[in-house]
Amino acid sequence: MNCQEVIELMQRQLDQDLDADEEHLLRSHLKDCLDCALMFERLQLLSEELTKLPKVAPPYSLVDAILPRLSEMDTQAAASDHDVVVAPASTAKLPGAEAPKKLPWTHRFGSYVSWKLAGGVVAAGLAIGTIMVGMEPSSSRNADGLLQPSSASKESAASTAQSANDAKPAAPASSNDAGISSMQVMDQSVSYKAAPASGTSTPAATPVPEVKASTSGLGGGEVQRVAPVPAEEPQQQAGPKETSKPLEAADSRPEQVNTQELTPSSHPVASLEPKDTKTINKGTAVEEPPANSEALADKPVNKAKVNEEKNGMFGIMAMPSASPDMGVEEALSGPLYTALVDQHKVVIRNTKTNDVIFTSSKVWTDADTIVLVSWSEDNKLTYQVKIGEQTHTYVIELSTQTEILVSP
Amino acid sequence: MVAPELVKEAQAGNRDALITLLREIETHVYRTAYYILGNEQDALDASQEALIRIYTKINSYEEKALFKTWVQRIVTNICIDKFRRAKPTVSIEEHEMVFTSQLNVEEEMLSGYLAQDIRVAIDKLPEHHRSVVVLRYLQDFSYHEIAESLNLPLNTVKSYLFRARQQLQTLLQEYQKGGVRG
Repeated sequence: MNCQEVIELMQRQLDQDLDADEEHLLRSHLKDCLDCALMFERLQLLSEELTKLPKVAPPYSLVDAILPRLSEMDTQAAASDHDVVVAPASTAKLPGAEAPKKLPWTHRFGSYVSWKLAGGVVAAGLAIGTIMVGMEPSSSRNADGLLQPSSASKESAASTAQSANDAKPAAPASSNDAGISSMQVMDQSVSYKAAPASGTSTPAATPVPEVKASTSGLGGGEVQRVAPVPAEEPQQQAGPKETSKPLEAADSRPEQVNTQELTPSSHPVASLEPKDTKTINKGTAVEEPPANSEALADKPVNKAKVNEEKNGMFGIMAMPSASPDMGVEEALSGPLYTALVDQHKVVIRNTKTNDVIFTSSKVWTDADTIVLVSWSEDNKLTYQVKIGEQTHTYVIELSTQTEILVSP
Repeated sequence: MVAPELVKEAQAGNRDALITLLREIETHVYRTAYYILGNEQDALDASQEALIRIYTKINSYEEKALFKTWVQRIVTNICIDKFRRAKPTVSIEEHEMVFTSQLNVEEEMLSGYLAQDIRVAIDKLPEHHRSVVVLRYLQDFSYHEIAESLNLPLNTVKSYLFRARQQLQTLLQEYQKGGVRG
């Protein structure tokens, strides 16, 4: 063996990688080769020193140090799903149907989320939907049509706004910003009209009562929840105090507004746009908010409208359970068993005796939508949960007492 | 090492299990970071980053690899990528890593300074050689486990380790010259 090869053996020996024969070869070479013997000695000493390197430990608990960041991340993860919800809020057809996406591992973090917020946003979306239903859907393919609501509803809205204006104090004005943003849909022209009339600093207040008035007949119970919705889009109008924020919004909006489907020519409020950026500095509550509201409302409007067409808003009216309360929400009877949704989880009972046969371990929230789809002949229940924009399908098999996710 | 059940629980969404898991590994994470980066502050930053990444990506761990190698991979990647400093790493081919030592003969002092010098020497190794040494000596990984962590072929691991030791032992030649023969 030459020395080069032996050095390789030495190295491997330090890692206990030699078999008996190789060990022997190494030892016998070292007997006769001083250089290699010295080399091996150095290598061994080095290896020993490396082994003796202090097993350092952190001076404080790193996990404790990062716990706040981890919690923040969990909240943000849940919240960012919320933001996704806010914009196309009107896609929430069912009251209490919205929720952040719930991955199994985020299931526990639900408590970080404000369900009031979710509920309020949903209610706002519902309100839009119902309002849009009251309008002429066929004519409004684009935001243009929406922003020019039929004169009838405009007038009635305006009048109700006028009358209800005094009834509504400024209190909800500041808090209803988020809800308002999407409700501005047909309200900007209303608010535009109402604003000069009311001359108050809270033209935003007017849409609220207007919405409430017109939707009261449609199960306005949900709409009540709009009030406590906190401001989601900070650049909403709540009077001249917030000039700075709307200012920024207005400045950045014009381009955006123009890229919308709006045809400025036919749009009454659109003509305000160029004016706005100039007059905005005067800080008039009257001119700003409509521009903002119109600008900001465009996006949700467009999406809302599109989604409405897609999803068939009319279906909402037909939905049986609007109640966010606890209790049995739905039932699906099969030959032998009946499936129910009880307190946000699926429960299966014997149809005759009403005994509980199976209780799902998956507890949903009142922001999710549970739909009991069908019973198979061999007593398997298929149900779906709609969380946000995702629909998950589960199958419960009673014979094995299992519940599995089949899609996505 | 870490109980597999704990890992499974953590992956199943049990946050407490996940936090417990992190506590069990935090020292190992820090230790690797400390020796790769060479100083406490960087090591603290990097290991916290690593723990956070492990937390968020826990579900990307697949059982086909050892959990500890998966963890070390995350640490070493973070150390090598994010915290790369313009350190005067010596090209191991071109230069002999020779260190002059101003020591006297006393063995205790020798080993003390030697240890320190070895630390300095490790710091000067190119980062992949350094990582291999760290995983071998501070994590007691086998060749195979090192290969898995660093995503390197087995032979490359050996090559890096042997080269690193070869270079580091020249340090000792100086000590030997200064001590035994001087």
